[in-house]
Amino acid sequence: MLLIVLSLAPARGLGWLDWFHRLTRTVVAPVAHPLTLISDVVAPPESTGATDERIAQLEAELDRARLALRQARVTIEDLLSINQQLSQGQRHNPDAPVVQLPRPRIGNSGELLSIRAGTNDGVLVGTVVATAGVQLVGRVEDVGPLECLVSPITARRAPKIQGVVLQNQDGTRTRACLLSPTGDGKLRGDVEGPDESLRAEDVIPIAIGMTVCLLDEEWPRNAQMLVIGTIERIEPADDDPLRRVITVEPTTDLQRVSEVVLRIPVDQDPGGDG
Amino acid sequence: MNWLAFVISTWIVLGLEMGLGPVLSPRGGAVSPSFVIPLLVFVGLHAPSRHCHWAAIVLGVMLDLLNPMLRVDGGELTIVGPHALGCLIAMQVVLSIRGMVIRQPLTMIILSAVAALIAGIVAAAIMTVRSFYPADANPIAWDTAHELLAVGGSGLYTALSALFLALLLFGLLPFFGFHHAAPARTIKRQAY
Repeated sequence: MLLIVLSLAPARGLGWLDWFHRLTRTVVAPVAHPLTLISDVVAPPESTGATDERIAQLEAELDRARLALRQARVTIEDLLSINQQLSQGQRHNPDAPVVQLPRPRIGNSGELLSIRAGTNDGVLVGTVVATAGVQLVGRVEDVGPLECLVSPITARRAPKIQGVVLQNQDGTRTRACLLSPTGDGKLRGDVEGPDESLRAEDVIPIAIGMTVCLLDEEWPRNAQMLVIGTIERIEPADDDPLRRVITVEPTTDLQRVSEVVLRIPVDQDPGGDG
Repeated sequence: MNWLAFVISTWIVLGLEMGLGPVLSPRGGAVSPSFVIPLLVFVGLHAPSRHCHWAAIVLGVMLDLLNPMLRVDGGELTIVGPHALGCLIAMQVVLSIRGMVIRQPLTMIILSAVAALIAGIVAAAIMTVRSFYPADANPIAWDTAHELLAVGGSGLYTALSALFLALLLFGLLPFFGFHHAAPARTIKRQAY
């Protein structure tokens, strides 16, 4: 009878179960973590990147440089906006830089990733999580003292995210898109049409392999322009054949990353060993 | 039944479920084998009924606690009950037919697939009932058809994990101390 009542109880009456959920995860972690490590060695997650280690390092370096460039552009736009706001007498608190905290994945809890980092390391609910340099993984949904749960952007029930398709290497030509998880580790959504002010010959068509980055006001500043993935498929929309729908695949399997990087704003870091 | 052996087995199968689930899940999807259900069937085949019911509740509650649902407004929601009730009903089915089957690994493999399907369908039914709630009382996006497909796939896939666990658990049978198990269906030789 108690189980039936609990099964059908409204969400607001179930908050107290979170403590038991964290306790269970902590108890199971000593078995799950070694198995996760072994499974990652035996069957490493597929990656769309280079297989040669040196080339992979150089590509990661290049990705980081590109990310810095894209974020610098966003920062310039923000600074211009701040300048405008200050001139209008409005207050604005610019975001602090981040501490990057690499931590291993212990295992999975449903679609959520269980990561060995918690409030003792300065992790908070909403902390942005990345991997493989600049690949966005998701956000921390729940955090305990020693571990946290991360919701990947590809989780079936993850909210929609806004991004931009980078149409050239320096990221000066972009098109906005709104992506939803498909449930099989990818995201799918509409891309906005080309800028109408451009001449027809200047329009760069959306192509398979183009990189898609996050540009969403719902996410913290330090997550902007992190890579969501690359375009895997382009289709016409069902209701409007002129509109394009893209399928985006992250550069690595987000459900099976062996290590993630938690991007903790400096003013929130209480002195973790990062 | 030796409850210490059951607790240690539960700890290990939950670790297997949490650690190996993603690597065994094709394309990172919702279909993955259950390691908990084969243990449930193993206990159901050998232990006294009263112990079986408690074991099913413990396994189901642990599954509920380890599989929170993502809220549409961010965060997660832990619901205790859907898997627990599913496991309880699956256990009842195992108990009702265990007198008619031979207790061997092959039986455990077949019953694991059936039990996984039953437990999954019950859990999906409860979540479907919850999906009729207003959004603030159940802030979870739920697609019943998709979930039932995943339950079907996971049920069949569980037969594979049961194959591995059946060999292991039947080897460890003496440690579970099933002294009060109902008599198995065996061929008896009679002297005439």
